[in-house]
Amino acid sequence: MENVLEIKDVTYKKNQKLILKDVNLTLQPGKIVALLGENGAGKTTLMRIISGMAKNYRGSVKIDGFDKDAEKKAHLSFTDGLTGFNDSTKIKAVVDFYEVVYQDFDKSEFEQLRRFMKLDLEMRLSQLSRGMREKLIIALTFARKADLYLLDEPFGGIDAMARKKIINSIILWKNDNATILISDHFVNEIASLLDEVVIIKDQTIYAHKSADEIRSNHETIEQYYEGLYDGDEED
Amino acid sequence: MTVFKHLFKELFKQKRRNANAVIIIQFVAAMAILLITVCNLIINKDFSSEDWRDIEPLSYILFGLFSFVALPIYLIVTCVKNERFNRSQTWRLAPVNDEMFYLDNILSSFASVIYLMVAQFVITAVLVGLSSLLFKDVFNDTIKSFVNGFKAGSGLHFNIVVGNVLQIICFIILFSLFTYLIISFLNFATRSIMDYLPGMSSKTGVFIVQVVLIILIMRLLTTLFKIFGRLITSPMGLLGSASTGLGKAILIYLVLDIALLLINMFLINKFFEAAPNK
Repeated sequence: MENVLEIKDVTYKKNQKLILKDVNLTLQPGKIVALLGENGAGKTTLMRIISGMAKNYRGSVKIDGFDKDAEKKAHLSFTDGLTGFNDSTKIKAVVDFYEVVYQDFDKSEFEQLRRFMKLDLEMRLSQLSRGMREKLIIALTFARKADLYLLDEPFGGIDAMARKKIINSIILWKNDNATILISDHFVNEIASLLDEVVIIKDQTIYAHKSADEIRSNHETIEQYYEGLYDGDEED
Repeated sequence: MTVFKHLFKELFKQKRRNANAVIIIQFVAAMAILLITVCNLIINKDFSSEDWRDIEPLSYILFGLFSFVALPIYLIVTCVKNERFNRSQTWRLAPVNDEMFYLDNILSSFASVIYLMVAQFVITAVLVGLSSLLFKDVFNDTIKSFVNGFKAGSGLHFNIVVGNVLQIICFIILFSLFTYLIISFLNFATRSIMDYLPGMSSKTGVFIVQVVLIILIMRLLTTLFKIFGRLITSPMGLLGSASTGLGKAILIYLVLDIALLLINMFLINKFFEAAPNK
C-alpha cells in the first residue's frame, strides 16, 4: 500500500537559523504516530511544512503520492486555531465554512463529535474557554474524512477527564486507513494509542520506532523518550 | 475549480459584512446631517412645509456625496482584510493552490467594492424616487434644470459622454485593483525579506524594510510612468484614445496590475507563509 506521507531530505531555515535539517520520514496508512521533541525542536514547523503553510524549504513532501499544495491540503486535516475568524463568529458559521470549503467534511459526523464535546452551535468563539476551543478544533478536524490528520498539541487546555475521554475515542473517529501524526506533551496519556514514535532532536528525525519495539524492551514510551535526553542533562 | 468558487463565496461573505456596515454608517450620517439642518431651521425660524420641500432633496444629495468618502474608506478596509486573509492559516489551509487563493481573495474584495457601489446607487435611487413621489414639481424642476444645464454647458455628443464615463469607470476599477495589489506586494515582499534576515522579527525591523521598499517602489513607478508615457505617445499613434491623459493612465495601470498580480502570485506561492496559529 502507498505511503500516506513521504518526506525526503527536507531542510528548513528561517532568519538564517537552521530549524530542520535533512528530515526524512515515511508514514504508512492506518498508523497513529507520536511526534515528540522538546519545545522549539521543530515539531510545529514540520507539521506546517507538511501542510504547505511553511514555504521555501528544500526537499520534497508527498501526501498520498501528491506533491502539489492543493492536493496535499485536500488529503490532510490539520488542527487549526481558527484565528482566521472574527471572535464574534458563531460555531455554526465556522461549521458552515468547513462544510463549504472542505468537500470531505461530514456534517453528521461533526454533530456526533459536537455532542460528545458538549459544544453549543450558537456559542461565539469569544465565549469559548481555551479547552472548549480545543474541543471544537478537534471536532472540526475529525469531521473531515482525511487520509492524514496532523494534531499539533491538541489537548493543552482540556481538563484531564475530558482529555482521557477524547484520547480513548480518537481511534473511533478516523477511517481504518487514515494516519494520525500527533505532537503532545502528555506522552503517557497518548501512549496506549500509539503505533509508532518519531523523535525530533538536533534539528532532524533522531529516532523513528514502532511502539511495540519500545514496549518489547520493557520500557514505556515516556521512559524511552526521556532516556534520549538523559545524556544531554549530564552534559 | 469548485473549491475556488466556494472559497470566493466565503471570502465575499466576510467582506460584504463590512460593506453593509459602511452603507449603514453612510446612511445614518446623511440622515443625521439632514436632521440637524431641520432642527437648526426649526430653532432659528418658523419651519413650514415649504421649507421641507427645499430640504428633502438633501437626503439623496448628502448620501450621494458621502459615497465619495465611503468608497476610499472601504477600499482601505478591504486592503487590511485582504492581508489578514493572506496571512491566516485558517484560510490558507483551504484546498486550493496559494496563487488561486490569492486570486480569490483579491477578486472577492473587488466584487465587494462593486457590491458597495451598486448598493449606494440603489439607495440613492430610492431616495430620489421617494423625493419625486413626495414633491413631484420640485423634482421635475430639478431634473429639468439639470438636463438643460448639461445640454447648454457641455454641447457634447452623447457617445463621447458615455465613452468618457466608461473610461472613468475603467480607471477606477484598475486603480482599485492596483491599490490591493501594491499593498499585497508590500506585505509579501516585507515578510519574505524578513524571513531571510538573521534575527529580524521586531516591529522596527518590519518598519525599516517597509520604508526601504516604499522608496524603491516609488522610484520604480516614477521611472515606469515616464517610460510608458513616452512609449504610448510615440509617433506610431497605434493606441488612438490612449494618447489622452485618462487613456494613458488606464493602459499604464492595466500593465502594472498584470505585472503585480503575477509577482504577488509567485511570492505567495514560494515565500509568503501563513502565520503560525495554535
